[in-house]
Amino acid sequence: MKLIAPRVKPMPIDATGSIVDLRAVNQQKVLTVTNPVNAAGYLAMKQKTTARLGLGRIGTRYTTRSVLRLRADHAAAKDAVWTDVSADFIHKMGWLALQSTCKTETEYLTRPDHGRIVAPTELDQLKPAFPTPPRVLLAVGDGLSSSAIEANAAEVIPAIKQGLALSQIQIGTIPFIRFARVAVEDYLGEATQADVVCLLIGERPGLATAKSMSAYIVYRPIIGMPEARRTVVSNIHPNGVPAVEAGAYIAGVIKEMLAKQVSGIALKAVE
Amino acid sequence: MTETLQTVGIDIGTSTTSLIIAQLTIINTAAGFSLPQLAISHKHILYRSPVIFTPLLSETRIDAAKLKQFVAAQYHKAHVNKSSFKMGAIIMTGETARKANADRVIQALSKYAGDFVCATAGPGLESVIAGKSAAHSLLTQPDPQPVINLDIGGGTTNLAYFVNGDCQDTACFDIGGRLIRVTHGSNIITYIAPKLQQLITRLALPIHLGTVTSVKQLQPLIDAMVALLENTVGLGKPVAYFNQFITDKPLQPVPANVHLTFSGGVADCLVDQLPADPFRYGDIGLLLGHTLKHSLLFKERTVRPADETIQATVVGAGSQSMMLSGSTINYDLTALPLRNLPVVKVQQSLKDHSQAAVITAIQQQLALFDHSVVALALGPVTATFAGIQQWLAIILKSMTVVIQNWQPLIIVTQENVAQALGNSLRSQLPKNYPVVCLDQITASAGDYLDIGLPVASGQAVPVIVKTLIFS
Repeated sequence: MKLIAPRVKPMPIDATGSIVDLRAVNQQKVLTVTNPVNAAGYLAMKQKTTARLGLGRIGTRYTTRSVLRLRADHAAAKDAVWTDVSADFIHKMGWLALQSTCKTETEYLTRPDHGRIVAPTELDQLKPAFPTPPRVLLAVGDGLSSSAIEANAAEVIPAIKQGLALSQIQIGTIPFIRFARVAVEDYLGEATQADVVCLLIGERPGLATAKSMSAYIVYRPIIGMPEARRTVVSNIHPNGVPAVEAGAYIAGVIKEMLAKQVSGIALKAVE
Repeated sequence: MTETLQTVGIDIGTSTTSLIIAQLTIINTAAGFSLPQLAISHKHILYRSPVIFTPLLSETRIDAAKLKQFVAAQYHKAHVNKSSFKMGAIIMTGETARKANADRVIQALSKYAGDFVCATAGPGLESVIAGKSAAHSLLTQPDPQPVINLDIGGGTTNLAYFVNGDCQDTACFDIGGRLIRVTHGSNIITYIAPKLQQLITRLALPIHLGTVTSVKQLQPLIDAMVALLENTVGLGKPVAYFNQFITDKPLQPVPANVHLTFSGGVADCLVDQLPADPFRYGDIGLLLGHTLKHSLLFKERTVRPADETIQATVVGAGSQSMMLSGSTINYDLTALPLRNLPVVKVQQSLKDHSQAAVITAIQQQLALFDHSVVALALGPVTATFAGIQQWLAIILKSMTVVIQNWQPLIIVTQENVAQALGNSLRSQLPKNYPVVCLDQITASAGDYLDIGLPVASGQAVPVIVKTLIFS
């Protein structure tokens, strides 16, 4: 019997002989359908969505490459949840490191309620930095994606500070809360009596990006308040809104809140 | 959020003039919790004027008073007045833009038509806006095929080549339906355009001013004109007189296998059979249209129906010329609106050039404009805080004279960085310094910008990128 050797295209390798990271390829620019009638049109369509269009198939199945890519993206999403923002990064940014009442990553994932609380002992570390109530408290939380914080915070924060400085608003100490859910900002607000609290937090990672960050901004937050009082700016990531422009926009939102003394749905209503 | 605004478009062409009033709808296309992203979603034409002959005082002068009367009468009929419009454009095209008083007439008329109506002229711009409205449904379908629109008017033929819905190249030729005028009924030639006279001489045709003519006598000349039009899209044998008829430039390179659309007055004359009175419009438009219909353009290319024909340019001026810059922008309201800002384009990218080299290049260009207010269009901006601070330093160092004179500082970028860049500028400039920083605007050297008053509760401003080419 004559065996036919499988026709397998070798994986691309770099100078050191290692396989090039699958995720380094922008999948929106690659069409793996064989013999497309209109490749240019298909690619133009792919540019408009992050959905995995035009993967091609082998018989009735996905190609090996597209399955590997899906799993690689899924792995990156899981990594973003399970890794911590590095201590070096927190130190470099000069943040004050705090923690929610969660003790472990598992507790953080299984007990969202614990992730919303900051213990009084932690808050006592923050209070000395604000002997008088600040107009704006800027805070950072890891949320569900630590990579989002490492990818965007260094761009967003200087742009927010610059925008606020134009109105003579200074930002003091920035607390970083490990194992944070959005509502930790209410504890920070009550502890510092800030007029506006803006929490930058990693979003739940998806297959399109694991590096998306949001800003949750509230005028005078109170523990247990309705969620409708939060204003959200989402989708801040390298392929979405550029972080630096988002920072300038967030500064504008904060100033508007200070002027109108409301946030969330109420802020939209007065527009 | 939905907002509508009214715009006006006026086209003053070689032979005809018309006016339209359009309503544009602005919506926020971004998902609820993202940064707003404003876009023009619908374009709806509310009113179309009749098409009139462009009023002339003589062969070299436009009748400005008659044009004003026309605009006033149409505004009255449409129940609008000059304050109804947030934006608009008057385009002067073809041979009319070469008249002695063209520049003065269009500037005066734009003020008369509305405070935010801007004056534009230039063959490239006409090609683009006529093409966009003529081939609108082809260009806005999900997967637009390459298409060339030929806008054949009285004096010129404007070509625009679109790939994936965007204009890739334009061309303009001095071929039109009114280059020869003939009295209706007696068939006497009353006008031959100079360039066509040269062609008649070259081909040794018995066509003379003041004499009676016929379809048979004119046909060889019309065939020569159509052969040239075939050449413009790469069809037929190259003609020797091709270069003499180029207004500004031909398509380079000429694309193969594209669909064609036709607009302009001659597009309404693409008939299979000549009617009994072929000179009913007093010109050679019907002859040209009839010959085109039997030419290689129809035989070897797919011709698609156009959405607009004779009014393609005016519809384009009213509905296609405006862009929105929003929604994260940065402007000083007191500086707006701004008209006829020459664009100084920074070609150099910071990857390949030193800061000092870029500053020198900007200063050289600024000197050419003699310290009038300009819009600085930046080269590629890296969307990082550090990248923006680099450009900030360049702007401050190269525009010291502008800043000393307290002239508005107008910066446009393609990348979505205007609000951050504007904040950076403000942090270094005195309080209340007029800064206008807009993004998602593509402008090149030689263009002009008109910036209107903000719309959508101040989140966006309408911008027209245009040319002003007379002569």
